[in-house]
Amino acid sequence: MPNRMTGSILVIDDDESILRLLSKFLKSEGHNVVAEINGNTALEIFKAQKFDAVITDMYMPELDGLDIIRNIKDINQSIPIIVLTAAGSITNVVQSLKLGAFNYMTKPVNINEVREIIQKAFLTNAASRQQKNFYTFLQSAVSVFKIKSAVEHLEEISYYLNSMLVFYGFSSNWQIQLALTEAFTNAVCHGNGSDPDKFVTCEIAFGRDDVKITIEDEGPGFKVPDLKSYKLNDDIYAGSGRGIFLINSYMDSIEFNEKGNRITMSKKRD
Amino acid sequence: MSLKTRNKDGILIFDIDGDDLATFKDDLRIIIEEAAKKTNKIIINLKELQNINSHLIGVISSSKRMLSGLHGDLVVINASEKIQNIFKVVHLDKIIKITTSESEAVSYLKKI
Repeated sequence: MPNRMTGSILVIDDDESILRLLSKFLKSEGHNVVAEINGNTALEIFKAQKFDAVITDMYMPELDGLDIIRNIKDINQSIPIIVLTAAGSITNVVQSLKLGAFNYMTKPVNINEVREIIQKAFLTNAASRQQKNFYTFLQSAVSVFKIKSAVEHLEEISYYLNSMLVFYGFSSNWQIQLALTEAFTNAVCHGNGSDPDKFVTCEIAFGRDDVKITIEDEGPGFKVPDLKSYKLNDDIYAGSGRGIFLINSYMDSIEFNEKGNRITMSKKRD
Repeated sequence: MSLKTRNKDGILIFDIDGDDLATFKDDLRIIIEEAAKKTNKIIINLKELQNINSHLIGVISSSKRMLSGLHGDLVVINASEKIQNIFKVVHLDKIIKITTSESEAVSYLKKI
């Protein structure tokens, strides 16, 4: 099979006949295949082994295909996941693509389609690896956004940050996005007091070894907490302080300016 | 983000869907407060929720406190591994019952 890429594939389906069929075909194409009938067990296998692609059935007891995508994407955002679904299940196909699935195939399985989609997935993987190597040449890449003070804009910034994190080969993406969400929401709602005439400035700086995010609002600032001894309120029900606590927990460093209207947080590359 | 409500055996179930949590502000808190006038047993289903933030964590914990004060309870179901990780960090797992199945949550609340 000249010019055909091979890799390690996890196949998940509660239908043993489909598992056998896919497993036999993919092995004949030169791939390493792990076939699993149970979604929860498949997730444990995924955590323990390295795979280049995942094929999962949509409708399964316990964990369905959407659960599988969510859980796997939390562990490895860039792995291609291909969903197997019954013909006509458009709603679930759309949902799976929104969650980050690479592609889908309808049952009954068409072997030629399996081959074609797997090859596309591996090609995309290879391109992604080349992109990740780009950071080794990187000194710094800085983007600055001055955004109207509205939480609705967080989605666009978050989308940009996520695509850049993938591009520069970061893996702790959801933790960094959570920190951005908390800091941006804090700037809009507390710093700027939800004043739509004010702005939030967001600077995202990628370096060779870390990403640094600075969020500054136009408000009067606030008393900067002592972050070294920062802990949650003893009253777990108390409403304040959780955002800062989450940022402090998930980012490697966090600091405020003296005025208290600018937060800078950074996360090292894993 | 969308919010659907269902009633099962007198227990109110909130299905939260979507990932644009930033635009989801005080609605859920108000909705739960209104709901608590009719029932003190609530399930919050996070199956379709991809991300969580400190605001929603605050809504869940304050709702739990309110329902406990009414001799009821709140159960969170179907939280992803990521969201459960965040719950642990803010110690929410110490005060909120979290289950993976709706039926388990319903049978727990029926016993209260």
